[in-house]
Amino acid sequence: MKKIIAILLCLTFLLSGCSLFSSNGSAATLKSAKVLVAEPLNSLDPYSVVAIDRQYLHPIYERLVDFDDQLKIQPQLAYTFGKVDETTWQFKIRSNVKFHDGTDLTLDHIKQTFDTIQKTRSPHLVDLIENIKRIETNAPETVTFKLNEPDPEFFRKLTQVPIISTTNLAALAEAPNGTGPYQFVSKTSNQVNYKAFAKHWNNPPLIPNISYQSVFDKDARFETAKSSTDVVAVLPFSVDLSEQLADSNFTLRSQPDLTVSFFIWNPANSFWSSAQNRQKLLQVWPYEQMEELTSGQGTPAAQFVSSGVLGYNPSIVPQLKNFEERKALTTELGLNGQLIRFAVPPTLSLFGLDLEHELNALGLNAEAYLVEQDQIFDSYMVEDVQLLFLGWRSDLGTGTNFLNTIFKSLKYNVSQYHNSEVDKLLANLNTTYEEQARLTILQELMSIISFKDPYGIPLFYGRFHYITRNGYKVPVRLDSIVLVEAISK
Amino acid sequence: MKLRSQISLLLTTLIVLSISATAAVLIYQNKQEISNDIYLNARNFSELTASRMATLVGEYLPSESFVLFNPQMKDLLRKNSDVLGVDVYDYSGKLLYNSTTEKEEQYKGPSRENITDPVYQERIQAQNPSLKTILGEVYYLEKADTGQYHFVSKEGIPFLTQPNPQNFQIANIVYPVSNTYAVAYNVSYLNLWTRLQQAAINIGMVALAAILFSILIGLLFAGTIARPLRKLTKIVEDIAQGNLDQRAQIKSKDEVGILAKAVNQMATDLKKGIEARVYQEKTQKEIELATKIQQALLPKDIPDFEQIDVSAELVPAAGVSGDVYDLIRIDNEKGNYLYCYLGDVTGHGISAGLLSTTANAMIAMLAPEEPDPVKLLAKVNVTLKAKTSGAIFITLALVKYDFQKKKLSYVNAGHEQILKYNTADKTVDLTAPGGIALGMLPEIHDQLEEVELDLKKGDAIMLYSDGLPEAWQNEKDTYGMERLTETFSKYGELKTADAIQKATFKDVNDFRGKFEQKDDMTLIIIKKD
Repeated sequence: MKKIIAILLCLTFLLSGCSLFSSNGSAATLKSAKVLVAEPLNSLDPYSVVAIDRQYLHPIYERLVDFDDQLKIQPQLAYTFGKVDETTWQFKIRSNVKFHDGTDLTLDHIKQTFDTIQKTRSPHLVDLIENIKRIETNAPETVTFKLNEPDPEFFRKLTQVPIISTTNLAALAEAPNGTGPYQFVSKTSNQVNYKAFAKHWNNPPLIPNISYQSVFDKDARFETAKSSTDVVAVLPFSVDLSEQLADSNFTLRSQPDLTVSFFIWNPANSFWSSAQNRQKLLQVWPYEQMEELTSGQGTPAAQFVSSGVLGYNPSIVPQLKNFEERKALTTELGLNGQLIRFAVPPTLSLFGLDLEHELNALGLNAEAYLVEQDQIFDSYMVEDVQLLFLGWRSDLGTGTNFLNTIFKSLKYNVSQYHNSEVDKLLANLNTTYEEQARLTILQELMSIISFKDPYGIPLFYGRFHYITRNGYKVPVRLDSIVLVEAISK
Repeated sequence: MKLRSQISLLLTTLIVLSISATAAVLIYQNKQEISNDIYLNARNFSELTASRMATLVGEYLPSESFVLFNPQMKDLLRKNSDVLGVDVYDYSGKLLYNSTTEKEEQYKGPSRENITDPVYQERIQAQNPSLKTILGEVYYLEKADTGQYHFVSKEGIPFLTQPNPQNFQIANIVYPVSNTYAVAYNVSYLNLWTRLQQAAINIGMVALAAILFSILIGLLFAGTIARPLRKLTKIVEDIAQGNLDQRAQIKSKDEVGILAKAVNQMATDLKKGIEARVYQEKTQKEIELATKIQQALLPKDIPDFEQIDVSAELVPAAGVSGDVYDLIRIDNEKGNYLYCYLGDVTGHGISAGLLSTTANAMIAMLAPEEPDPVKLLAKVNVTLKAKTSGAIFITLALVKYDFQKKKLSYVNAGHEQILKYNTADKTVDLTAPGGIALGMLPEIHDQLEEVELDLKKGDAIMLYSDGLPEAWQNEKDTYGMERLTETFSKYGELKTADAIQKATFKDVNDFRGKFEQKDDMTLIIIKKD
């Protein structure tokens, strides 16, 4: 799934959404566990478009395949799957799966789940399954997807599709009925309660009762955690409260999130249409300042996907230099006085102004240009804006979607970037199924678009901070989903 | 066959047997280890190469780049000699590459059929690698976060009982790759047998060398054993002929030396034993003589008395008895009375017999002159104390029946309590214990007391030694006073003292059965006519 995120949203997420607290309480054996989050449940609709709802709904529903905590594909309702031919994918379904209402999962439920998405046109899902031509359930235990076009990563898209009981669709928004390890019990304005599903195909989880509680204020969230004995995780957590953790029973955890923020080039300026000039700018780009410019929330990025995403190339690292080196290099490369006008949303004005200051100190002629988020793509029409700020979140755990979207879309390829080697590799990527081979291609692509023929300037990865109660293992996926069924001491 | 040859043969046989057993164990362990090695190597090899092979198949074969493809596949296959070949399938079960048939040239034949074996199809389409044993069993493998593999079902559920890879041989491993391809590795155990054969040959050669060496050592070793044994044989033959002063002069500290020492000790013990036997025979004769003397002291017949009927019996435990009894009828100027007593010397055997004999003689000597039973025993005690050590003494119950006064009295010198049978109500009374044993203290007159018993017609008294109540039935149970009292109450009404005495003894002996009599048993019944 693709998502363009303005830096406002990034920083909103990273800064205001973080708060973590610790509790001195300890529980030898948890009969219940609570996860504190910032935002309340919006809707129990399994196809809710609100991102936080997916956190709440994840324990209730299962998918044909799903990610583990490192975004590796794991069989779930399908115990195996594979490509029969270029446009046919087959999934073999477990035979002992029940819904929370006690009814058996059938192949019809799976087929109807996808039919429902097609009919309702669920905005964030329909794009993922639009390539499905038809679904066949003729063979025992087998669901066969016929696709319109070959898609080597079709199975990754299915990680986003919760399989529902289609018997009573209208009731799902009030009484969710999935096959997941936890079943819905009740909800209030700020809490959702679950209990372990005793008839789960993979045995019920260890903790009988779990709940999600939303506390928006980061300080209040931390205080709630400290005063409670059953809170096992708080996410997100604001690192400015880190000093208070010493007196608590919680430990700070941090992992890259799936969002990378970057600039893309505006092709209108002839100077930057030269790959050589773009490389020059990358050489003097103040990567060592990125952390400070993002108030410690961002880690300098030199490529367009974060670690944990298929395609991340560990050999591509930011070129960290000191200010004097960069300044000298700016002169040496002939970039002194070169105009750099970059568009950022007004909410990132501070970031924009600081960056402007840094670039000008190097001798460039930089200027932050504030543009509303919904107009950011229009800003390339302004001749003097050379860089547009964008963010990309790789929810599918792969760089493929980013590449296909950017380079095959007029909307996103505003710079009309074209590189024949990239085109060739992309074509090769879309017919290569073996994952190691795909990784090789993706990493080569990342190397080209990040430096050899820069598509833009990668800025920083978001980092996701949370805290967990000492002595408890609380797996949190790279996409921030808490795997509550795997919580253990 | 000579001893030397026998020992040599025995040693050689033992060594051959132990080497054979060791070789069998080594070969078995070797087989398991090699078998496990092959499994691990094949599993790791498949894990490391499946993805690469699938990539090569995906990259080169569609473009028919066999020239590039083949060397790389060969290079991979060379890294594990236990893997004879690989087949690469796509998810649908279509064979894309077979290393056996496509050694030098890409397959150009008609389109291959998909595999039809559903189990094989499942393995190709699985998420986890799987192995098939030569017996046809299929196990799926799942790698845990720790890096360890465990066996699971096709749906990924772990088996409760994990199979032991040492106990099976795999036929092939199927390693699915990225839901697109699966690589099947055909595993050969040819190397196992080759390695086992080599191991067996090595072990056999070592065994042969060991056997030859053992024969040589056996012969030498047997000689060192046989020579002193021959010397010992001569010594033993001399001893057998009665020359008990013969001794072996072998000083070695090995088993032969120990044997020689034992033979010498045997000769010494034999000599001592013969001397002891001569002494024992002499002593036994003395004991027999002492027993005869003691038996002679006991009343040969119990005379008939007016007014009372008396019966007595002594059954010694072994040889000379420590019990003594006697009946002494006095008719002189001192009065007409009967002294009847029963004594029991501590212990038994010759020393006890001597003391009882002494006591018997003294009482017999003093009784005519001393009608007072207390004084009588006090006098006996003075002499016994003077003549014996304090460690040996005699308990004694003395009954006096005065024919003139028709009175029966008794004095108890530390002996068992006298039992009195009352014919009127067929009850048995236990008289009071009292007195002190003779020979313990120089003067006991004051500790003794004459007690008169009112004996009516048909009443009876019983004197007995502790051998009766302490008759053992087994290691735990004795006859006991309670049972003795019951027996007396049961048989007290019999008409004669002799009948009561015999009935009582019978009861005790019946109780004792065949268990050893550990103490002398003496019983005296006096019944009032």
